[in-house]
Amino acid sequence: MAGAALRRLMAEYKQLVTNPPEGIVAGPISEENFFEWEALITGPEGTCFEGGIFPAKLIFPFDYPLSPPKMQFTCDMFHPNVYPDGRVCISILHAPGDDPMGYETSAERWSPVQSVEKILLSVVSILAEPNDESGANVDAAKMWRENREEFNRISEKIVRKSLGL
Amino acid sequence: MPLGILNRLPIPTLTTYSVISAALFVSLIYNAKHAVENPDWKSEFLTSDKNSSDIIGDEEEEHLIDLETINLPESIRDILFYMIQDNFSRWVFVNAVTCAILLLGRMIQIIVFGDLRTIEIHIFREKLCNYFLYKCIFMFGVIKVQTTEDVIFLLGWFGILGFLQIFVQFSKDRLEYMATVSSRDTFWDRCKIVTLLLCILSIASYMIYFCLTNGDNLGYNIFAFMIAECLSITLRVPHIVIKYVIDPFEAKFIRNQNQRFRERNVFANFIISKMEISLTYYISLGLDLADLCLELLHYLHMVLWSNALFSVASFALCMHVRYLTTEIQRKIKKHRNYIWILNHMEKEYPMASEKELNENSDNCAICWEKMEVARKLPCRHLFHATCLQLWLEQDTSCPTCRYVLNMNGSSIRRSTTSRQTTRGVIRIGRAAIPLNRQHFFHFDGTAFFPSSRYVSWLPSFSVQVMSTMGAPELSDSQLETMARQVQQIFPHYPINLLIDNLRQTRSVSVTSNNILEGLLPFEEPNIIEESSQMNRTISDVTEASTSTAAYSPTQENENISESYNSNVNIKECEFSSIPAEREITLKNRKEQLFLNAKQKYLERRLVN
Repeated sequence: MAGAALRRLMAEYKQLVTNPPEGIVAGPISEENFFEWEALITGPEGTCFEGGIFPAKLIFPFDYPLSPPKMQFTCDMFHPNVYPDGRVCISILHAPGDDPMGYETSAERWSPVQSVEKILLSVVSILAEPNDESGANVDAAKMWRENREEFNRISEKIVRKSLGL
Repeated sequence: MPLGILNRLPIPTLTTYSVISAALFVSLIYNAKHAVENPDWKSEFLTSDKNSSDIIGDEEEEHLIDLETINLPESIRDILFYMIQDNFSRWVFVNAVTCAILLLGRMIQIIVFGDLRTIEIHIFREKLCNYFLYKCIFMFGVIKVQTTEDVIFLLGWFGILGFLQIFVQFSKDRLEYMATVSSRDTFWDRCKIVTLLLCILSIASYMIYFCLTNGDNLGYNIFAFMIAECLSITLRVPHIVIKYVIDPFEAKFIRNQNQRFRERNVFANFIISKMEISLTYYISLGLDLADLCLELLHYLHMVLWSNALFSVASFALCMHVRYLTTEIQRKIKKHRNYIWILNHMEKEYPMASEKELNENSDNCAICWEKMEVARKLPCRHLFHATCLQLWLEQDTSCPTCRYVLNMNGSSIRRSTTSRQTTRGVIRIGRAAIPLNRQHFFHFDGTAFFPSSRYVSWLPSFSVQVMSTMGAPELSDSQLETMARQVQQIFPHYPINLLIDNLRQTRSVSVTSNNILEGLLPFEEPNIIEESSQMNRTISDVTEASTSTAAYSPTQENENISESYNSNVNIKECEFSSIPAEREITLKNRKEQLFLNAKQKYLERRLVN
């Protein structure tokens, strides 16, 4: 069964290399272990995260794609849907059974049809448009709603830091 | 719990330990030799023994006889005899043997497994502590050994058993690791582990043989205690071999067979896919359950035998028994669920026909592999039977379109009304393919009130649901508004084409997805040429940077990838089959992404 996970991850990796989505690079951290990936995500144009390169770690379960992977930014990230420790909170990363927040329908949750590429694209889209209903980082959500300038200033700082400038 | 303490205790490393034991052993031999030189040491010994203890009895004499029969020079025999007689030297001797076993184990580990991973070391420690704890409980809490000889005998027995068990555990972990994580070719490593497992198996069978032959002397209970664990090892080894060695090979074999059979007929495919599911599953389940039951019996036996229900020992044993029973229950429950889903799939989701498979050129959406045989859900999506089975064990919707499958099987069997309902749902599912069914609502009233008089109005209720679901063709005006919505996203698609597609899909989002996935063939030579020219000019301007961001997101996927190829090294987009090369490619791509982003950022800064 885990062999199936490995084959699927290999197929996804191949697809991400041969036909990469714009501004995204992802692959296993080490060829020895295909269940831990690192992904680099470019902040979407026209948003406060524009131009930043945000590294994140993806950890896949052995029964992938039946269960979703876990995703965690390894850089600083100040965003309503990202926990202060970097874990990403989006509905497609939630297993179909559990619903920690009680606000999503099962249609929004994980399904084996999802893929690394789709996850990363969703993350790019929440970078552009945070979903402030599900506040993983309450401070960020509040600031996003009430003090956008300050939020932009902080994200600018994060972008610069992510580029090592 | 014992781990925490153990981690803090200063355990000597294997080298220091073996050095100390070797030194002790050498000094012991020297001492023994010295003592043996005294002409009447033997008589002294025998008399002192007889005076001091009457407990040393049969076994001691057996040892004596053993030594006599072995053909050895007299001096060595004497030394051995001395060592066995003297209490202190006996322990030193045991210690030396333990050390030798440890060294042997270390050697096997280095030869077969190479370096251990951290997790393996962790598991090893945990298992060892557990094993030690339970054996102590067994020795002093359950059978309450009295004499040193018994202790030594049991130590030896458990030592060997523990040795075997730990290596079984190692092999299992390593094989699992190979099957899952490591992508390297591991044929030789596998061979080594399998040989080791076979050795373990033969030792364990010899131990069983030993138990069987000496069963009369040991007494019924001790015999049962001793044989249980050997049996457990002999069960576990074939299980591991089947699960991690034969299974992958068999899967590969079956896949090859599948391709060969494909031309023949659907029926052969069907049989093979069924075999694939069931054979290894049942063997594995059976061995698993047998192993657990055996252990359960073993521990229950211990609890009963220990005769003291309120001691610490029996408490620990009861905890373990409880754990085992829940484990067995869990396994059985899982198995029943598995069988249920299997039957349900058989009944409700037919095998896809050859024609459907040909029409659907996609791979299985779950494992991304080609489908030679597949099962069809009511929403017409195809999946491998095994993949679908695994998914349905945890969720009851179609992975692709989230169509809620009616998995409430008890109700299907109970009343005809609900059976009609499910049939109706299936029919609708076929009529309206990828309809957005997020709001689909199925009222399964009969499951809750099987014999209630309210059942009579239930069918009409489900008909109502059906009629909303199976709504007839959308009106032209509706289609047009939807098409305009799509056209806002994809302005260069002609509205007729969009309406056609919408008539099939009935959903804006599904059509958009179709366009994005390139399923909607649409030639627009002028626009493509223009845009690619534009790309080229852009890529000339900013040489290294990926200019993909510069053009509108409305272009087709192909177009994007084409332009990506044009300004990024083609070699970089190839997927190498050599792991090291892939690693380098990935690293390069990451670096390039970084550099481009940095450059862009600085450029933008300058502009502002």
